[in-house]
Amino acid sequence: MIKLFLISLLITTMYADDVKLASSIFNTIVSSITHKKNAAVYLYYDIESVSRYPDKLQVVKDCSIADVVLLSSIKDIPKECESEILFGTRYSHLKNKNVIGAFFWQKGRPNILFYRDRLAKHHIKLDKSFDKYIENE
Amino acid sequence: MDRSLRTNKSFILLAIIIPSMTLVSFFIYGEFVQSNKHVFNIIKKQLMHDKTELFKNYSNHIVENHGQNIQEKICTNKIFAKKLEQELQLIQGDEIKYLYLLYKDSDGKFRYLLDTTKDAEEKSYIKQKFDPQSDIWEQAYKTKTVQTIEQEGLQTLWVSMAYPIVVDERVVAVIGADFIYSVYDKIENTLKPMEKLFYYIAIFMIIMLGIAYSLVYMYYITRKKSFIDPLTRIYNRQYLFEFLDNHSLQDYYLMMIDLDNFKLVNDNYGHDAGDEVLINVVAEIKSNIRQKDILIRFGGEEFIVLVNKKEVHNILKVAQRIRKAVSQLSIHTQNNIIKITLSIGINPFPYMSNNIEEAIKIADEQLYIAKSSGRNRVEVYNSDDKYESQTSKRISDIQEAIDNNRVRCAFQPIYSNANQEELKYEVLLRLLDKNSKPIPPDSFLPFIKNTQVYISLTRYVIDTAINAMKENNFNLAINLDLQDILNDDIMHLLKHRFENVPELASRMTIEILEHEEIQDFKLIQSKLKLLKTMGFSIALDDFGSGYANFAYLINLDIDILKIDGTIIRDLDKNESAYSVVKTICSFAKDMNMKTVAEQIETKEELEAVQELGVDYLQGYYLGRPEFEFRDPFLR
Repeated sequence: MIKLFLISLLITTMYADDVKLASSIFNTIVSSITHKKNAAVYLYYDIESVSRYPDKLQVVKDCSIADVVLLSSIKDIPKECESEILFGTRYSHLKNKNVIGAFFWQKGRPNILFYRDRLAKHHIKLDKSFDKYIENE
Repeated sequence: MDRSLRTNKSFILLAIIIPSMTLVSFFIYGEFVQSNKHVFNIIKKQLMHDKTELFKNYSNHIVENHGQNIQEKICTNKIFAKKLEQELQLIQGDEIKYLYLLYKDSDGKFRYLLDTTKDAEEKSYIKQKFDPQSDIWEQAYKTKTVQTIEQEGLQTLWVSMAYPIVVDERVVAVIGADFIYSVYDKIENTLKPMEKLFYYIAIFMIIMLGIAYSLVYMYYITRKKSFIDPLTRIYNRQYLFEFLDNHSLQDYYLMMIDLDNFKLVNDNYGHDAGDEVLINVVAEIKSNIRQKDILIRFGGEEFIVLVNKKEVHNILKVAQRIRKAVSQLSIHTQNNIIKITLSIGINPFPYMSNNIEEAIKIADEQLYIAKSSGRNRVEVYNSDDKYESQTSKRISDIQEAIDNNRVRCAFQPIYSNANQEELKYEVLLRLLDKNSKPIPPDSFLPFIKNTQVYISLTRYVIDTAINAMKENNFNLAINLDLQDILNDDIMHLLKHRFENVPELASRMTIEILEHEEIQDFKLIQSKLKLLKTMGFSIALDDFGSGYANFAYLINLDIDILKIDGTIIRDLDKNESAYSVVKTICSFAKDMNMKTVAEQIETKEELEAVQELGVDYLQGYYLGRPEFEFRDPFLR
């Protein structure tokens, strides 16, 4: 029983660490995109890491007032969101040309990817530290 | 001595064995952990080696068949890429979760060429950027050697390996392999039987150690219990000897405490009340001594205190403090309030004795003096009395003489001056040395005063006198010290022995000797009255010398005056002595007392005392003390 409890605690802790890490990465990315300390984000569907640990991000319920829309899916994106800065959470989200980049987990590793043209389209200039994540399409 | 040696041996044995076993257990555990790590590393190394061999073959296959253009071919020919991917998949095995081929582009970024992953979300596309989490990829490119890293931050992955494919001294691609954690588990499972065996041994050792520690604990608890008096919760006499095995008497004063008239408490209030009194008295004594002082229940109501000399300059003050505190105590037991006092004997120099028994004996003697002098007192042994240092030896010699039947009673005849038919004997105690030579009482009695040996000798004299009177018709006289009649034990002894034979008491004269001036005539008179009630006649011995004077005759109810032998000696030649004896005889007649002249050694002395009308006659001239009776008039 104690063993079971310890394993559950460990898994919960490890999971919480991953979620917090993801939230921290989202915070850094959004801050770099918007150059705002408390940028407003709209979560299309739910993105657990941000909704649980928003940190400096301000989660809004209206796409029109959001600085960045974080996507958990690219299916049926609301029309009022399409014109906003879209950021994906899967590599496949980049298939949508309006998505400027994505942060996703692959093979147990965190991956960040931006397309140069798509950034330029939104006049986004990222910090130098993001250079290694920017690709030509 | 043997007991302490045994105790020390078992203690040393336990003190060595148990910590050693514990240390050995820790050592074995440490060794096991190291061995486990070592075996684990061997298995891991072997696994890596096996995979490296496979990668080597795959790499050779690529190099031989596709050479420098591998990257270009994969990127441009999807069928070719598919084929290579399938070949790569063949060497993946269960241990590798992700197997892929990377290349470094002109910007220095790593990109996928092949990926055997089947899951669409996890699968990477050709040329997709690979974000390295460590520098093994870079190192593999640089060093052209296999690189591995343990992925501590990545939860499902255990080890990542980067195997460089080298063509013409140039790395064209790197095989990436992520080993899953289940491999780690697999190795762990391989080691499980060994681990289990160790755990069984460890559990066994823990149980054994547990048993050993609990046995030691039990041993010390039992040992401690054996040193504790269950009633008062203080140390018992066994502890005293244990204590002295490890401590020197040099550091302590020895105090012997005895509760006064404790028997009366038990008799009057019952033993439960007696126990209450003991508990309360012990608590009071404890509150008047320090933690470093040792309080021991030595016997029923007898206690020993070893007072540590540190910061104690006046042991008498400590003893008086205890005595006073206890005397002021009101002990509530059931419906009674009991007051009790105690007497204390102190031996301030216990280290000067040959052993603890001797040191206790000296304190006991002082205690006896305190008791004899009226109780609720403190007496301190004075080492300046040199003969006292020999006391214990004398006592043990006398005790030995008693045990070996070398104590005898001699009988010296006393005659009636007027009526020669009336005969009585004075019983005189004689101790025989080892050569059967008699030792006079003055040579040993002072050393045994106030001891149980003295009481034993008194008992012996009384019993011998009773037996002699039973077997013969004559009367007897025995000698008692003034302190003896103040002693409850001796008074009790007389009462007990003559209670059922009052006719024998009436044939017995008690000759009172005294070595110091009487301070309390009333007390002495009450004791003499008691003796007379029992039927004894009282004689005052050695009258005319020392302290015995006419005041005694006025204040005490005396039957017989024994005129001191120093006055009788040369009576026929010394006119003054003649006048003194004449006065004594005249005074005695007026007071209705009989007189005895002792130490008559010549015919002239005999004639002189006869002329003066002394009632009874005694001396060597008339009859020496003999162990057998015989009629002196037959001389």
